[in-house]
Amino acid sequence: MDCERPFGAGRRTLVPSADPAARPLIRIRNVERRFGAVTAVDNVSLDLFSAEMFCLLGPSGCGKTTLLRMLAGFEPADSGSILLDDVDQAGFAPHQRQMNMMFQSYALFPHLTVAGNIGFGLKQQGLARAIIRARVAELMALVQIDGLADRKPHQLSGGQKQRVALARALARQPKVLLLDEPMAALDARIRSETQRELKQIQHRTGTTFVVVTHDQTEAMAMADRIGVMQGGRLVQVGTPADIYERPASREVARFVGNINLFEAIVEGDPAAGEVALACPLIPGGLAATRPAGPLAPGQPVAVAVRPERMQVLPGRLAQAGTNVAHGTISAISYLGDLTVYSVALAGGMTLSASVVNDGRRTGQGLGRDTEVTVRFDPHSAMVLTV
Amino acid sequence: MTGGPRFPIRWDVAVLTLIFSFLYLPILIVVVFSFNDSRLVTVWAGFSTRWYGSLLSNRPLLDAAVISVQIGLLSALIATVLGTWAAIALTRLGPFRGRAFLGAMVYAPLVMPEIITGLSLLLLFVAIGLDRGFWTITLAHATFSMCFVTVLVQARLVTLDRSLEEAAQDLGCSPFAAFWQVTLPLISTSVASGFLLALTLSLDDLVVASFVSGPGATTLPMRIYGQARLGVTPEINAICSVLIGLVTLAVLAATVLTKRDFAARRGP
Repeated sequence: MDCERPFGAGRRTLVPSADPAARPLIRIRNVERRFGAVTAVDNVSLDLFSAEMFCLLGPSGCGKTTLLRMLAGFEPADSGSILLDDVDQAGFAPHQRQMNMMFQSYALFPHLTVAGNIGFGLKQQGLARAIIRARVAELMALVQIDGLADRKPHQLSGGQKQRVALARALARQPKVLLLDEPMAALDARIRSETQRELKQIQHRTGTTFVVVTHDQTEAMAMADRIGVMQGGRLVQVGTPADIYERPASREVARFVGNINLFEAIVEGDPAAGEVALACPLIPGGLAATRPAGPLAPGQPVAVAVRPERMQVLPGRLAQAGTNVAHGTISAISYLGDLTVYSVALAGGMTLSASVVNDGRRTGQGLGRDTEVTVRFDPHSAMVLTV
Repeated sequence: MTGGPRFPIRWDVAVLTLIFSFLYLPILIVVVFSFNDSRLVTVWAGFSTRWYGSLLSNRPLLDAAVISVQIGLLSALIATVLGTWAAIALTRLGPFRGRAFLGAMVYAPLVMPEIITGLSLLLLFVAIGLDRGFWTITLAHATFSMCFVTVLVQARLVTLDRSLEEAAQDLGCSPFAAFWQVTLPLISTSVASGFLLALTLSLDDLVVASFVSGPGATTLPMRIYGQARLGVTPEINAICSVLIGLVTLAVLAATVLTKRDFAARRGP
């Protein structure tokens, strides 16, 4: 595609958000949106950078779509401001903003052909017909739907519709492309392939993508950074690894991936960088990585351990050490690449532990009702204070 | 569908025959006798089209037909514009004070006795000192057919994905341009159906027109009624058959439009 902005310009290997000198493309400052008694977007502040793929992740009703629609200009902000390139967008209607949106329903115009749909935004700019035709052809090549120019939307498959919607939203070369649940209407089968392609297209056009999704695997697969929203608030912003490895709260930990949470009490710090905790479920006590913030002895916290960081051993280990729990297997889910064991602990909690089926140890001596020992390293255990 | 109790076939046929006889036998009689060669309406004397020929030389009847068509087209146009506008306001402006009330009020004229509509419009025209004639009939017809257009267009608008209009605005259309380029083409069949319906309602109307007409503005139904009181002639049968044909065509056109639109929306 022929753009004024060459593809890949300004694209660094460094994540833009990690560069302190980087200037944000969009600044969202203390934005709020209320519908009656409900606060859909609650005091959200966020910087978005040029050429980044940002995912707004959260359960349905968390306000992520409202925030996206506020960026597009379909919802006004009750307070706060949105700046694009340091220009406050409050005075601009949707058709005056340099942001385009890909709608969840795709919103393809049923009375226009594929070419008519993709060229719609260009026609509004008053471009010559020949130029529009050439640009439409480039866009169709970009999203790989050559040859469908004269089809009507109802003659397209779901995947083709999604590509037309993407091409149409990219046609005006927006500074920011807003995507509302772009994969929601697709078959699970083609979803991961489409995620890869979307990321490639984002990379090639160098456009900032803001993707709204409720699917954490989708967000992890595509995003440079993820913003987790809950109850209208932006609760954590970070790279996929940040969010997964260092969730800011119990809620984030539960929402992103599977997690085992032990409610525990801080006891002290036996080793540098580690913290000792008491937990009634684990007689030998817990040891976990020390979090950044201060911890006081006696403070109630949660210790979070991902299932894949749990080791499952058949039988009962003689000594009850730190980070060691005993239980029996209550359920086994064989997922092909992984096997997930549900282990019922004596204290009533059920842990989940996943084991990679690498062909060597698969299912060795582990069946239902087998007595097992579960253990994990202190560096796999995260302390969550909220 | 299978299963469930079924009426014996002959019952179905009998009931249907009865219903359709009630509906269409009188109309059929009018059409058949319009081709009657006899001057007497009820005595068949062989096939002839001479009454259709003599229509062409019946000056008062032709004048009335021209007035009816003019009023029909004009009032249908006004009703379509205003009715579509009202439908958009009711579905798109979001909640506003009195919206539910207005929504219900749109349906009121559908069930309002014509005689009341006619009388109240007459009183209004007299009160504001409007000379009764062509324009008062046109306004009256636009008034009562507008709500039919609103109902039709509103039904289409509520099924229209809001994000289509938002997408148009997102792609650079002002709200007004989005309406012209996206909304209107998508509701056009409903608007056209509404226009045809308003046209047929106007062509059919006798009661309201009788109330609000003045000297020099006699519509076709008024003329037919006037002549029929002096005795039904085969000529009246002929003009009625022409009217039936026109109205049937308009309704068929509206139905085909709606069906095609529906099929296009659902896809192949």
